[in-house]
Amino acid sequence: MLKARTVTVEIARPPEDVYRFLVDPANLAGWTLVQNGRPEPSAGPNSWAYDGPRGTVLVHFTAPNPFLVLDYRIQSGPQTIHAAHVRVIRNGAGTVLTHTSVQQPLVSDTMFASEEEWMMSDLLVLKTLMEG
Amino acid sequence: MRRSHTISLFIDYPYPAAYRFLAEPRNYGAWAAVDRSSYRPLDNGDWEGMTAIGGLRHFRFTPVNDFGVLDHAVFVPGETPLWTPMRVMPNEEGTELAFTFYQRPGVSDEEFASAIEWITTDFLTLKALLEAGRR
Repeated sequence: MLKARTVTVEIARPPEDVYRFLVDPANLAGWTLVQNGRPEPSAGPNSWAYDGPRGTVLVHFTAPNPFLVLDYRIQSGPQTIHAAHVRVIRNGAGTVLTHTSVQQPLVSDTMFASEEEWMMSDLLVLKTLMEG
Repeated sequence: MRRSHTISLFIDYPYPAAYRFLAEPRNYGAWAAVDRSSYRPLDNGDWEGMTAIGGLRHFRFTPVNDFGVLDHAVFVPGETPLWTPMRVMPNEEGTELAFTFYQRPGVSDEEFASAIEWITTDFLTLKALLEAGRR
């Protein structure tokens, strides 16, 4: 079993709005550290390449779906460095976003903990962006 | 926006089988706080049964899907279904489960905290049930 951690963020915007924004891979550069997103069809039907702080990464996304699920897997070279299950769920007129990271086999506990802090700060940027 | 609380737990049971078990409405009576003898399917696809705290309730389940989504609504017959989000996700040979519970208007903080404890008990029952099945 791999270690997993679930964090939640409440966003005062309807889930459809949040999902519509997140499901477009071009928007990832708007609230995380990756830049210059471009489709990478050779890697998969929903795979994009980005320039990250430590080089190019490939991100494999779940196809858009009516369940507002947004799972993704980040690959650097041949290795999966991050994998997470994301869901946008309705809370009245607003949204609860749940993000479950699964610690990958070659990621140390320290690195996983650090990544989770970055993740939370990214998600708070997303919240601010969506509520602004 | 209502206050929400997300419960997550690891179940040492393979994801495909865990999803198959949970996606079958018949199995809901095996782990949730519903009286099994009264739990039965209705003509419209919903289910009904007696609950320990609220009396008769109807249950509506999300159709089978590829995402492990297991949202279900528990409601008083004739009233608007309140959907509770639930999902299972693969974690190597096991399964992660996430369940989000909302604090409804009129429910005090104490009642909400107590309800979370009850629901956590349901999920620990489910975990024990599935993990026992593996051995």
